[in-house]
Amino acid sequence: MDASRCILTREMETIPNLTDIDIYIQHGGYQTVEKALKMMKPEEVVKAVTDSGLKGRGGAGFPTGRKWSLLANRFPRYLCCNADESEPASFKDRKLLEGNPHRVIEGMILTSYANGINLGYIYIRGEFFQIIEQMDRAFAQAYERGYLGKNILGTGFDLDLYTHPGAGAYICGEETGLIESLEGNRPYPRLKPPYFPAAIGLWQAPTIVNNVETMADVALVVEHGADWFKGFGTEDSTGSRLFGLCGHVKKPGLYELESTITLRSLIYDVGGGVRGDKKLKAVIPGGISAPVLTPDELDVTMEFGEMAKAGTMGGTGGVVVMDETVCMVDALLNISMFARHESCGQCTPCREGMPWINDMLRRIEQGHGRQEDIDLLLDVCFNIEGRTVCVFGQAPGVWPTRSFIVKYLPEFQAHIEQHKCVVLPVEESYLRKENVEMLGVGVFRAKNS
Amino acid sequence: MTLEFSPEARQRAETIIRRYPPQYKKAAVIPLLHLAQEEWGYISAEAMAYVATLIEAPPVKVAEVATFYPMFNKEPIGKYEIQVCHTLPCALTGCGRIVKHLCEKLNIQVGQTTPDRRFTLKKVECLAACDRGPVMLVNKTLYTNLTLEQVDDILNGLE
Amino acid sequence: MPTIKIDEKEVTVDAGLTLIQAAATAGIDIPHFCYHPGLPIDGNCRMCLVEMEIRPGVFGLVAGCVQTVTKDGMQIRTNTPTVLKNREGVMEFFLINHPLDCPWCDQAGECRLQDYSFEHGRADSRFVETKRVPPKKDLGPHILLYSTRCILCTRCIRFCDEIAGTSELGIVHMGSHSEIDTFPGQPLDNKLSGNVADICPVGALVTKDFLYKPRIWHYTTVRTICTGCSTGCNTMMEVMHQKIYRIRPRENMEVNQYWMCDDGRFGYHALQEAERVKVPMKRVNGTLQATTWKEALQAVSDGFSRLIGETGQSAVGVVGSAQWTNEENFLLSKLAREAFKTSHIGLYVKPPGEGWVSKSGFRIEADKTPNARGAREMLGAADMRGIVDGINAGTIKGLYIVGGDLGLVLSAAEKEALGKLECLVVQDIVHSELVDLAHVVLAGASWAEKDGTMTNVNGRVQRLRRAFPPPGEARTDGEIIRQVGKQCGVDLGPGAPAEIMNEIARTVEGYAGLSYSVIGEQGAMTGIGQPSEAAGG
Ligand SMILES: Cc1cc2nc3c(=O)[nH]c(=O)nc-3n(C[C@H](O)[C@H](O)[C@H](O)COP(=O)(O)O)c2cc1C
Ligand code: SF4
Ligand code: SF4
Ligand code: FES
Repeated sequence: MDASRCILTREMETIPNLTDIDIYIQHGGYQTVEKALKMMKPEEVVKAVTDSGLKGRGGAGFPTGRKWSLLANRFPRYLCCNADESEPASFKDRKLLEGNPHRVIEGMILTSYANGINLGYIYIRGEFFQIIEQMDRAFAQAYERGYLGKNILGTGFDLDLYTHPGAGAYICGEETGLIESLEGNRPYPRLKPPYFPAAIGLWQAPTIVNNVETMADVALVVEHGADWFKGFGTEDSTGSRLFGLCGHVKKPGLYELESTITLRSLIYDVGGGVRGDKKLKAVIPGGISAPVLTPDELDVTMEFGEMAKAGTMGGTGGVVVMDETVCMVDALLNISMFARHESCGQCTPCREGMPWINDMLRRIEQGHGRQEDIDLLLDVCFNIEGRTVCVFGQAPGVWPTRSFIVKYLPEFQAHIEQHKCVVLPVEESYLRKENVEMLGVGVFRAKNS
Repeated sequence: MTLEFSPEARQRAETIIRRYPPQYKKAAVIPLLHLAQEEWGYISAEAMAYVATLIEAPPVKVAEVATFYPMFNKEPIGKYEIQVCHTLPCALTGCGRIVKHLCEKLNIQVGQTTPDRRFTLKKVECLAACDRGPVMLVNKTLYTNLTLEQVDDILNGLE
Repeated sequence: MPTIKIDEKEVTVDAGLTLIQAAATAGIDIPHFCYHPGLPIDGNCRMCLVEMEIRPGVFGLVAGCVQTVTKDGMQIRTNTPTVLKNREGVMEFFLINHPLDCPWCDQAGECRLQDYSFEHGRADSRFVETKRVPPKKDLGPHILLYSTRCILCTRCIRFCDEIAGTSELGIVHMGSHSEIDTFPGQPLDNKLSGNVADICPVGALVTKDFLYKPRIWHYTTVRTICTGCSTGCNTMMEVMHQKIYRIRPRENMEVNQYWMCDDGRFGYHALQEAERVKVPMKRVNGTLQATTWKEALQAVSDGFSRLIGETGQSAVGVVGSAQWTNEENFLLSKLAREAFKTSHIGLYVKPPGEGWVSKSGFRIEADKTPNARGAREMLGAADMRGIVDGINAGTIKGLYIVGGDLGLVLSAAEKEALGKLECLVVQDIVHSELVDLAHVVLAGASWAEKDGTMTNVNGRVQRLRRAFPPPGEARTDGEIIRQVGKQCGVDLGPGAPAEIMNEIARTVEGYAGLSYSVIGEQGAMTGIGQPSEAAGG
């Protein structure tokens, strides 16, 4: 890793007490805000972000400039920075907020300025107790220094930013669930259309929802310009990305890298390889919602586009490595338990389907699987995907389930046939690439051979 | 019994409510429930009714929210709330052992409180510290890279 | 108006209609659970998904309750394999945790789950796991919740939030543990609470009133109106063996939308429990004694004949009722003028009760009579003050007064005046204060026992329909009036309510142009036609 290319994390890794606004300002902090508010028109900020090719880091990878340009032409407008970070295997927003809160605030101020927003919140998951306190302090400091409040730096621009805590529900990370939660309702995701936040968001007003990392990137883009930002990463995935390595890897942790890196290199070169030098059995490449990849599928770069071509997704960049000791039924059972717990319960297929899938998997894991359960599981997946109110039903609902079952079919079948938990040798546990038909991201079918 | 915040909490409540446009007071429900839980340890029906008065909403709408979120305890819990992450990354790094150890040591099942009301043991979903698993929260403090010995030390260190 | 194609049919509909509504105009039913035309859209059940062309040649699933008609040329498909498979899937999801207790569920026969699973469900059950069993709950004075049958469509919650505006209901807990509930100490107790049982698409919410009653297919349904107040909600009344089992609202966007109040819904008990006047009676030596119709009618004409002046100086008065139909009051005024030769006509006015307006604007009127407006217009009288004065002045010595109100109360002045009469003929249905004072009592019919029309507070003329005949020897009131006329030697004309309405249309101001066919199922406003003979003459 080249430290000079760690544009998001270098400062927080090297400068002590960066969370203190004075230290932050000493190192050039808030100059970008001053520059933008005084010397740039809001449209210019939008243009820079659009030109930078920045894609949202919340999971969906939606181009940030495009999102902003879709804002309905109504006021007031609001900003919600999404710091609900609950996608298992993701811990990047936590690190950014712990290490460099003012960077995120700068991004929020710039985003607000660019989009004519005067009130915003950062929705932080409730378990981040210290982060919420630190963020409250950081906001207070920014108010004191005149970067927030009325008539910021004498430019006539007003902005209020506050923290808003969550309380332990994953679905509040979904942008419209977040908005409902913030409004004080049950965090039931809204129907899209018509409730795209940019059209009808918080309190029915046009609203921008962006991830924490996206906000930090916005600050970088405005500070250094779109071209500079495009100098990192690839055309498909500009800038750097924060990848989280966890599971059975020697050096778990958060790594700032460019998406040109392959998954294999990320695991073996950056992460030091599989713990105990065991064999690698499976990798989830972009947060637990992303379809699983087999040992045959590691030579793919971490670009959003390449990940999609591989039938999975770059998502939040959280990589879970599983070694040869892992029972794939057990691992999927764990994910499905998560899906069952975190389904908000609003819509029928997800509310009823997640527990059903979970029950079936438990039965198979405990040795009570039936031959027909595989088809039944896949059919239940079919009946959920694309039929729910929000994407949860699909990811983390259906995608992990289908990808595990289809790709690791031999291991699931062994459980059913032998009526017990069976961990097959890696080579025997999964279908070779040529035996799996990919019909789209997350949509797989075993070829009859 | 009708509950009411202490004067300090009352003041914090007002600061919280002021963060939202006056016509959207309901937005304050989650932060106010957190405050209520800090005050009283858990969210009783009385607490919900009280919060409802602060945000001028029907009490059942507060109940809808309070019962949805796992962080709000609907019943009193022990002095120390121990929450072990059991999501996949932590499962891969051995959270199962940690949970088992805690159950044995505290002599309770997951979801229970010790008879002396010192400890409540829970499993939680991912705490976003997956690179440092297994992890657990004890009240507001996160402990990472847990080993059984560390768990013992942590418990012994609590008064 | 855009023209769109649904399956093979082209329809031209208003932009902004949901696909469910648009399809309905083409006679195509898009099955749904959570959508209700009277409630805000929620889109949670996912039953209504249909395929829509999203790019040329490419079809994708959209929710029929959410997607609206936006432009010409939209293409919708409601019966493709994908659509059918989704319905089957949703039905299966609903039924995996359902107790399948249809044999003893009160919704049987009008349950969407039952109906749809026949059409869209699978015959086999693929679910071998353990079912969830959430508890049964007593939600309030009128409503029970069988949580096991609930499909969490939130119709009931949306009703309380947006229609009643009382917000007693919510969903508690998360995900598959979600349940409908009330807040402790705040039961579902509002003036419209019974409606939640109607809109619950399954058997989860039931009224305690309709618990363990005979299966719905045993009833006759009578499409009538509520007589509880002057709103005149349109209703359906379920009847068997001369008994009312249930009253539910019937859609009328101009009056009650889809709703009715609990007083009206459960008010039929008061009628069924009332001690009815079932035979005509005559006062003999100070006490009322049962008699025959022949004698009773004779007693009326005997009592009045002396008092009826040939020249219009009649000493007989007539008082109509706001509980009576337009036709009955019309006949009564005819009786007064033609048989009793009198212009002393009054109307009994009931002291007002409490009015209430819901969040959505549903009105319960303070006037607790159904036809005060119509009665006023038929009789040309607004109250009975003139009658009381006439009695006190000695100009009125005989009175023909009609009741029909279960809660009739007389003021002290009214009572005192009536006590002075030489001949008081009372036509009523229960042993009211009037009956106590009467010399002759004629046994009439209640609102469930007669046909006719009533005019609501806003001037909407609506049909009241007979469910069963009056009890015992009691007769319908129009019939009695005509017989009294006959006894006095006057033929009051045709007796069929429809024919009387034709006469009303010819003679009563504001009723021109009305007839039973114009009034139909949804009623018609007064003042729609050309000035009537009466006004124009
Ligand atoms: C089930 C679900 C959970 C999500 N959780 C998060 C989350 O925790 N944090 C986040 O930033 N985005 C999350 N997202 C994505 C958001 O909906 C939204 O796309 C994102 O916040 C937009 O920010 P971005 O454009 O900056 O990526 C989630 C989406 C879904 C469907
Ligand atoms: S898909 Fe699942 S999480 Fe999303 S709205 Fe439906 S029930 Fe809730
Ligand atoms: S009780 Fe009935 S109306 Fe209410 S949510 Fe359940 S199924 Fe829907
Ligand atoms: S899975 Fe345990 S902290 Fe992420």
